[in-house]
Amino acid sequence: MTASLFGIYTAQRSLSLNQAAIDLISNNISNMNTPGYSKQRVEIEQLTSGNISNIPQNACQDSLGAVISSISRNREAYLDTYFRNENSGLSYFKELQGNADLIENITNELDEIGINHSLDEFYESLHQLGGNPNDIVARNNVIQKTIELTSKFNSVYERLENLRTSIVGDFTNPNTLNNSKIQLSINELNNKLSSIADLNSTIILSTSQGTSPNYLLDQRDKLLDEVSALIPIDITTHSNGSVTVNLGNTSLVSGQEQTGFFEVTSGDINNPAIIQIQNGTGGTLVNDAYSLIDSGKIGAILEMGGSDANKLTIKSVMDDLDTLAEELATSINGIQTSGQYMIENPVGSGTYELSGDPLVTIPPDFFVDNLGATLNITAKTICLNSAILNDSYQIATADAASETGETGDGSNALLMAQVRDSFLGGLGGATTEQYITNLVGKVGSKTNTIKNNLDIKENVTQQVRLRRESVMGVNLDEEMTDLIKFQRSYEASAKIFSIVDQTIKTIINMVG
Amino acid sequence: MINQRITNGYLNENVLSNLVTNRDKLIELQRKIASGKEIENASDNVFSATTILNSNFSLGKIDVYLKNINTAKSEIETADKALLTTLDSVHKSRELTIQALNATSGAEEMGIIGSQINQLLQQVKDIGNTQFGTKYIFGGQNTNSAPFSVPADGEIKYNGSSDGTPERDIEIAKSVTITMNIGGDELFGYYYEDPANPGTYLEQGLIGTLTTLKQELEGAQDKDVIRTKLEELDLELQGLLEAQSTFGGLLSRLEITQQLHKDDEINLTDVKSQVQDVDFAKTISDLQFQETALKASLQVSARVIQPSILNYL
Repeated sequence: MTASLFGIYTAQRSLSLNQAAIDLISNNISNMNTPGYSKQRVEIEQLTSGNISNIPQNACQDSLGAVISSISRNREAYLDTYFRNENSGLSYFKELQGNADLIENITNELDEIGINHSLDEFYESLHQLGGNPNDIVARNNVIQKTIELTSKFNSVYERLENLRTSIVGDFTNPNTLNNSKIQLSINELNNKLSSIADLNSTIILSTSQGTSPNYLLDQRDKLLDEVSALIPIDITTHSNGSVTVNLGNTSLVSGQEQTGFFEVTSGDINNPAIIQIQNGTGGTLVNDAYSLIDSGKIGAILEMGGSDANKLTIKSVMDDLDTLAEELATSINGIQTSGQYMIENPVGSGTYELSGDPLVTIPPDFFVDNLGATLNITAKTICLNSAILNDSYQIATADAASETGETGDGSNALLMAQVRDSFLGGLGGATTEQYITNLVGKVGSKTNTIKNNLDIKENVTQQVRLRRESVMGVNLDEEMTDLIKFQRSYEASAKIFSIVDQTIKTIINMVG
Repeated sequence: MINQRITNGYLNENVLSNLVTNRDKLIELQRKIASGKEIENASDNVFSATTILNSNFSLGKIDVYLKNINTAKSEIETADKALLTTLDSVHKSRELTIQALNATSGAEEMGIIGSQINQLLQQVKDIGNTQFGTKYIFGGQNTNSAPFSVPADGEIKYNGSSDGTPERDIEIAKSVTITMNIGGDELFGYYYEDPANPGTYLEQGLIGTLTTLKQELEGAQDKDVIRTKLEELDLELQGLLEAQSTFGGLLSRLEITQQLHKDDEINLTDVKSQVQDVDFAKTISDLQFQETALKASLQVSARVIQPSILNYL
C-alpha cells in the first residue's frame, strides 16, 4: 500500500534542500571577498528508505528524494602546504629587504652626503693646509671638515645602532627589547599559536559530533598562513580534525594544547635577542632557536640583528665603520704626534713658533674618543680633540726636524693628506677610500641578492596563491548558475507540492 | 591553465598584480628621468656603484692636485719674476763694475759707482723679501717673517731656514711631490758679522759679492780686487740662471701634469657619466612604451573584469 501524502513530504524535503542550497550560495557570495574564506558547496545524495520492495508500485516510494549529506569546503591540502612554505620564504626576504634598504639608505655613499664625500673634503683641507700652514683660514677649514667627518661617522653609526635596537633591542639595556620588532613578532606568534590550540579543541568537538566546522577550519587555516609568515612550520592534520604544528622537531601546538611557548631574552653583542622555546610550565625545550628559525619574518629579524659573517647584518656594517674610523684615527694621530705644532710666543703677540722636539713637547692627538682618550676610538666615539678644536694651531703641520722659526713647513700636514693613498694594514691593505668602496659593494651586492630572491619568491608565491585562489575562491558565474539551478529546482518542487495537493483535493472532493 | 576555475578573486588578484608591476616600472622610469641618475642605490647595480665611487675618489684627488698645481704655479711664477729682476741687477752691477775698472775712472767716480752698487744691493735684499700673499717665499720653511734683515749698517743677514732643508713640498700627483722653492741664502747669499767670532764676517753669494764690491769701491779701490769681484759676479749670474732654469723647468712640468690631470678628469667624468647618468632618449622612449603598456593593461583589465553572468540574467 502506498501512502497518498508521500509525495508531499518528498517535495517538502526538496523545497528545504533547495532553500538551504540557495542560502549557502548567499553565504558564498557574501564572503566572496573575505580573506581566507573557502567556497562551500552542498553535497547532495539520494535518500532511500532502505526497504527493498518487490512491488514496482511500492518501489517508487523506497526513494525518499534527495538530502544534503554535508557542506564541504573547496580546499586542497597540498596547495596549503606549498603556499605556507613559500610564504615563510617570502616574508623572510621581505623583512630582509626592508632592513637592507634602510642600511643602504643610511650608508648611502652614492650621493654627496656620504662618509666618502666628507673624507674627500677632509683630505683636501689637509692638502691646502700643507701648502699654507700659517694660514688660519686653512687651519679652521681643517677643523670644520674634521668635525663634518666625525659627525658623519657618529650619525651613520648611531642610525645603524638605532635600527638594530629597534629590531632586536640593545643587549646593554634589556628594556629596549620590549618595544623591539622581535618581541612584538614573538608576542604575535604566541597569540596565534594559542588561538590555533583553542580552535583545535572546538574543531575536535564539532568533528566528533559529525558536523564539519567550515568556519573554524577557515579561521585556523588563515592563522596557520599567518604563522607561516613568521616562522617556518610543519603542519600535520589528524583524523579528529586537529592539527599539530612543529618547528623542526619541537612541537608548538599539539591537539588542544599549545606545547611550545616562545620567550625572548637579552643576549650578547653578537645576538642581542635570544629566542627560547619553553613548555607550559616554564621548562626550557630549546635554549636558542636561532638555527631552527631560518625563515619567516622572525628568521629575517634574527639574521639581520645577529652577526652571521656570511649574511648581511647591521652589525657587520657597524663593525666595518668602526674599523675604518679606528684605522683613520690611528694613522692621522701617528703623524700628528710625530710632528710639531705652533705655539704663540710670547702669548698675545700673534707670532707663532714651532713647538720643538715632539718627543719633548708631544702634540695632542688629532682624533680622540668620547672620553678624550685614544683607547676606544670607534665610529660611534670618534671626535676631534678639543685641544685642537679650541686652538687650530695645535695641528702639527711641521715635521720633527724643522727649526723653531720654520712655521712655513707643511710637510707633516702633507703626510696626513697622503694617508689617502696609504694602504692601511688594519683595513686589509686597502686605502680608506677603497675600503668604503668595498663596504658599499659588499652591502650592495648582498642587498641585490636579497632583492632578486624576493622577486623570485614573490612570483612563486603569487602563482601558488592564485592556484589556491582558483580552488578556494568564489566564482560568481558558478554561484549564479547554481542559484538558477536551485531556484528552478525549488520551483519544480513547489509545482509538485501543488500537484500532489490537487490530487488529494480531487480525492477529498470525490468523497465529499 | 586548462580547466582551471577562474574565480573572481583570482581575476582581481591577477589584474591587480599586473597593474602594480606596470605602475612600478613606470614609477622607476619616472624617478630616473626626474633625478637624471641611472642608479640610486648600490644594490641597483653594484658594478656601476663601485665605478661611480672609484671615479668620485679619483676626481676628488685630481681636484686636490689641480689646486696644488695652481698654488705651486703662482708661487713659482712670483719667484721667477723676482729672479728676473735680480738678473737685471746683476747685469747692471757688472756694467758698473766694468765702468769702474776703466782706466779713466777716478776715486770720486768709483765712490759714486759704489753707492750705485749699494742701491742695487738693497734692491736684491728687497727682492729676497718678496711675498706671495702673506708668505715670504725665499725664507725656506720660515715663511712668516722677512728672511733678509739688516742687523747693522752694511750687513744683510739671512734668517730663513738654516738647517739645510728649506724645501716646501707639495703633492702634484699620486706620490709625486715637487719642491716649489729655493732657499734665499742659496739664491742671494748674505753678509754679516759672525756672532760667535766678532770681527770676522760671514759672506756668501750675490749679497756677499755686492757688499764686498761696494766696500772696495768706497774704500781701498784696488782694481785687482775689483776685477776678482767681476769674476765672482759672473759666477753669481751663472747660479741665478741655473735657478731660473730650475723654475722654468718646474713650471713646464706643472703645465704638463696639469694637462694630464685635466685629461684624466674628462675621461673619469665620462666614465662616471656613462654609468650614472640617464640616457634620456632611451629612457623617455622606454617611458612611452611603458605608458602604452600600462594603458593597454588597464583597458584589457577593465574589459576582463566587467562581464558577468549577472548582466544577462
